[in-house]
Amino acid sequence: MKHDIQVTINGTSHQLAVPANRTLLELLRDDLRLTGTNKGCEAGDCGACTVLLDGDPVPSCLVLAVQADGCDVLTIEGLASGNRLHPIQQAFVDTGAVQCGYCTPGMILVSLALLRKNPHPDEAEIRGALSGNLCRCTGYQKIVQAVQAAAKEMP
Amino acid sequence: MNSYRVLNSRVARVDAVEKVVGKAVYTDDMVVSGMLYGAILHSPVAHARILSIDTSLAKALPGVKAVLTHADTGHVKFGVSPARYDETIFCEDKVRYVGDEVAAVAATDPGTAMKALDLIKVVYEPLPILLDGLRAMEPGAPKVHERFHRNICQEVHWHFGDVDAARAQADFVRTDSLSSKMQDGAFLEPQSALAQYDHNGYLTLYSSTQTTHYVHRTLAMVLDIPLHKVRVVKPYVGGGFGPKAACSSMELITALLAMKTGRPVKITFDREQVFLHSRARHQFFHKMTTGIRRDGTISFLEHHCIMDGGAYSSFGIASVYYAGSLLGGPYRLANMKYDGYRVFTNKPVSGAQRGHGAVIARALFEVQLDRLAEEIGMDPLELRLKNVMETGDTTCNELDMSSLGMRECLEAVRERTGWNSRRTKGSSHKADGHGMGVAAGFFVSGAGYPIYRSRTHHCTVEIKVAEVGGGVTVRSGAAEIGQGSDTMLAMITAEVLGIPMEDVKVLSGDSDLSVDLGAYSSRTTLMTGHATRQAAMDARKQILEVLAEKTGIPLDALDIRDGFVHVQGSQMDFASIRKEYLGEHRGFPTQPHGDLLTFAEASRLAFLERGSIIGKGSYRPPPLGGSFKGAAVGTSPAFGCSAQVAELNVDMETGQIHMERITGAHDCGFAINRTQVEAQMQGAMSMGLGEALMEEVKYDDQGRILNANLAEYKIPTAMDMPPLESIIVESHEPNGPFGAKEVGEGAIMPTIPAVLNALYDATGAMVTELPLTPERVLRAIKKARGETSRGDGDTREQV
Amino acid sequence: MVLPSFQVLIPSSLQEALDMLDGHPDARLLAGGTDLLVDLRPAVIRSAPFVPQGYADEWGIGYQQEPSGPLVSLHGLEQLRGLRSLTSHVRAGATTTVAELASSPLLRKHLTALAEGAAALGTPLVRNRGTYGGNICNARPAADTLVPTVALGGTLHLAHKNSTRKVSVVDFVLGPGRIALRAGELLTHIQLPFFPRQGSAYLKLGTRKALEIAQVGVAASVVLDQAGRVVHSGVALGAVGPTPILCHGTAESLHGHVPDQAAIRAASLAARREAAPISDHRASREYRLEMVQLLTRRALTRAVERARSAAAPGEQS
Repeated sequence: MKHDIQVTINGTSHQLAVPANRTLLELLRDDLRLTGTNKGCEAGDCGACTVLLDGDPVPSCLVLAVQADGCDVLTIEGLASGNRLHPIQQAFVDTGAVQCGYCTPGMILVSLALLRKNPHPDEAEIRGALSGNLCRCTGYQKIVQAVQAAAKEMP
Repeated sequence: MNSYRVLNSRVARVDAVEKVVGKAVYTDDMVVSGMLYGAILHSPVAHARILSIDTSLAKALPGVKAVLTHADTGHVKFGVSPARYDETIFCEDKVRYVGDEVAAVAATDPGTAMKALDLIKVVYEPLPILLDGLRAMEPGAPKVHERFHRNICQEVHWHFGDVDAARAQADFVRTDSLSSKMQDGAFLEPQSALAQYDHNGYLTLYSSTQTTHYVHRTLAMVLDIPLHKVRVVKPYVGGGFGPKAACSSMELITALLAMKTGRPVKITFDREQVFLHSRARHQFFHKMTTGIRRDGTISFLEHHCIMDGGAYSSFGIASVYYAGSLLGGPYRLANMKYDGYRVFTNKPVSGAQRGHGAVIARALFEVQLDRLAEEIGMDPLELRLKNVMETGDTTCNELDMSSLGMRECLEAVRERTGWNSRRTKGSSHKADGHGMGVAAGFFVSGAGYPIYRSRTHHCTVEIKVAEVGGGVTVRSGAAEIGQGSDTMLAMITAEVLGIPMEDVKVLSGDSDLSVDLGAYSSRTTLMTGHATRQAAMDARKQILEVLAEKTGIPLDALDIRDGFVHVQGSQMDFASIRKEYLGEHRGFPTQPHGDLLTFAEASRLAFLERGSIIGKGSYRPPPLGGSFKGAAVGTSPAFGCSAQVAELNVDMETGQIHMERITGAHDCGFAINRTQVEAQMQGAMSMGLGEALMEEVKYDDQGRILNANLAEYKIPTAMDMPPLESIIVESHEPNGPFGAKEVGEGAIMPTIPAVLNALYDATGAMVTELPLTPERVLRAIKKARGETSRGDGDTREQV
Repeated sequence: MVLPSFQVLIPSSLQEALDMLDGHPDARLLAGGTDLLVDLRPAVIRSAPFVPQGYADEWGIGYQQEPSGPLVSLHGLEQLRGLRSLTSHVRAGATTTVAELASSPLLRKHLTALAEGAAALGTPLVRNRGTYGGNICNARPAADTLVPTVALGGTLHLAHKNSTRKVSVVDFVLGPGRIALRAGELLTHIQLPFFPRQGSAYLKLGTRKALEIAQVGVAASVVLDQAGRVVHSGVALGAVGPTPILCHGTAESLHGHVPDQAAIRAASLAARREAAPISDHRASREYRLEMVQLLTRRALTRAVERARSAAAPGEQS
């Protein structure tokens, strides 16, 4: 049996019929082909599939699509306006916070949620906010620096 | 300051924007029409004979398009080294570990594929299980492979110099041991492969691999397809670190399913399968005896090692050599004995991971140096400086240090950390919980020889100048896996051709583009960098030759900088060239203008005169190394080196370690991209810290992994990593392009021993088993308290 | 690996949820999903395959049917969500997220141990989805909000189609993953009393600073009288038994005493005696016993400090 849901993704409202066992991650990747949301563990451990659900970062592998009915979802594809990068994206590019890139969308979305709530976080707050998003490439040093740089740039 | 315009800068990576907007395509992101989903049935038991496999119910399930077992294969064996081909696509007579591949299916959707697996009925006859690597060689131990006596995959027995004579001369001798646990690569992107097989018999495999070249060869060999009809393409890869450096059964299965069904097939690992497939760092058991003279001169090293490799050989034959050979430096060491054994057990297979084979050996040796320094009352950093090799030195096992900034690295971390004033002398007895530790290490900058015996070029690069003019395309088989190789290729090309980075397009990671052995042994910057430099110089020469012919200006007076042609000493009359270009481009809103001929005009002219302009480059190291057995492993055109100081605090009541800072200095020869060199150093520190503090694949008594997930296989989170300082040392390697050599792996060498030495400094405790869980640390602290500074496993003697 | 097929029922009111549960005795409750959806996803290596419907007979004994009970998702039930402060207690809705607990000024002030437990649970992402009620009903002995709830004397309010009942959290949790929830019942909210001059703390021991399962967790709560004597205390131990352990001996040893260092040491020793840890791949029994004693001492010390500096509501303008 499929469920009819309405979900706003990156500002666009979608009416969708989804099977009960479909996760939000599968909905984004497989149905809507928004593949910037990455699949790393399907157990909520790695953070590669992070999206903002009504503004809060969540692991989309642990959200059923039916649970997102009526919600607002922001994925990494919804951040830049045209060719103009969001200040956090620009900071990740400039600081060298990107290596393999697999954790990057999640890292950026978590940073966005942090800076919206706390525009001037200290280093410990940044590290705490990033602690659900694993990165094997960077040692987090340049990611933390990117968030610090973005905090200065954001209005 | 150098005169480079692009190199040695902090220019942004060429792939950064695609990755921050979520448009970078990884293998699992790909969907092609008609695509089937594959799934693999893994053995649930560690060691058993396969009595029967019944696939009839699975085949009858609607939506299932193929069900394969060993009966559907050509039974060709494969592996990493041709000397140890011991794997088949599917298990044939028996299964050797929990996770061994038994069968596979392809179906129209993942759910059906998963259901079909459950309908395959396999009857197993259990066999005795061997899980303990230390017991593998014992008489009566279960045999993992019939053909390998005493479960030994490979043994090494080396003796350089004269250890016995040196022992007689040594003033202090001590023996210590250190063991580690099996690691997991824990890259964020699980392996994925997508295969297409066309009607002309051409196979294309998209795969998250580090080595398209070896996957290409293995696919052709195992599936018996002509080599030229196999193409392996690497989309973006979400980290590799070694475990993705060889062809896997999964890649072969995906290809075979596509061939059998005639439809595209994709398989993507679950995280659990990443652990089952493993091919990550071995479990090591090292024992070392080291002697020094009273003045701090290192006399000898006697080294014994057993490494648990799991069920198949993989890279193990090389790993066991690396574990011995990479202790030949970076200190002057004339006498070294090594006995290494790589054994089989009924566990997932270990292979190569960042710092291949050498990381735990390095850790124990560096710990020994600290303890010996303490015994002779010398500062441990000073002891290292006293013994450090210099550029031009050769190790006892004939590794040539054509450049070596080891001294500079040690001095840099000493100065940056305020070592001399902050580290208390004889600090092992203060045991206040705060400690500093130093360590150093080195690593190859590209393996001197390919994995199979061949005179092959290790890489070729073509730079095609756009026929329309204005830009170039770099065509390379090199594997961008996150380390930044595409950016390196673009930077070198832009520098040599004298054009802006944005006019260089990089196509890479495709076996149809060029030969490149891939991203392993920290080889890409040195080797593919060389080939790129050569190709760019070739392309540049061809363009300027045409220009010289057309204008009559001598070739050596012409130069290209910032996208414009410059002429030394005189002006060039290029009116006719420009006129022709403008004539060709009527209606184009942007036209060349000004006093200088543009690269666009010059390169277009070259095409008009000569047809396609393609610059060619290739690289193959010169013959390297000694003539003893196994001398090839550890050879390299160059060696990078690294020193680090770790600072930490220990909760003396719980044993918990709080990292305060790691300061590293690495000699990369010459930094092509300074930001990326730092990034590699920092990534290496984090992997090293994970191995030191928390990483461990755990098994139950049936050989099943207890923590095949990223919740309980622990890698550092952002909260666990301390601030990292990275200092770049540049020794200008004569064998490297622009003086460059590795950074990716050498930088992990000092991390674990720096932490161990800092822990000892903080607590007086010596832990002989990694990782440093709070429980192990607390036990060692108590032991140290009971026995003053003596650690367990410590049998020091004064001669 | 995709999730197996299941049915999801989405009630829009509490009564509808209770009717659904009444009609489906095999239903499971879906709140944040951070445990349930992980558990539902089949492992690659598993002892018995899930055989699709209709095939089980051909395989015979030993093979499981695919799970078939529906999930009742609580995401639409606003009344189960949120924290409310009443005169002498806090009422926490069952689907209040762990993140809300962690950041609640109310809890930080009055029931610090619970806020600290919530902040220590999993990762920020999991805390944004995981719920308080879910963490309690999963009944893991190391659960980071369950252990403080035991120490703080939480009472669970359970609703059934035709009735409601209250049960103390200690009586509710029966063993690892086993709870006293009856068929058709739903946890609606948790009630936590608070007192003037109360202080509490939760300490968690792990190898890693986030994304960690406690090797030992200790929650301590102390209520002082005006003379600074302990009138009420609760110490709960996590990961050292099949359920969180409420230490009666500790409470007895502290009762009526000024909690000085000696009293806290004695109480910590009592806690160690009540712990019943096993050795597993996370830590040994011996280490856990020693850490129980140490963490109890540290948690009690912190709780007492907080109790002393706490200005109870009404005592300070």
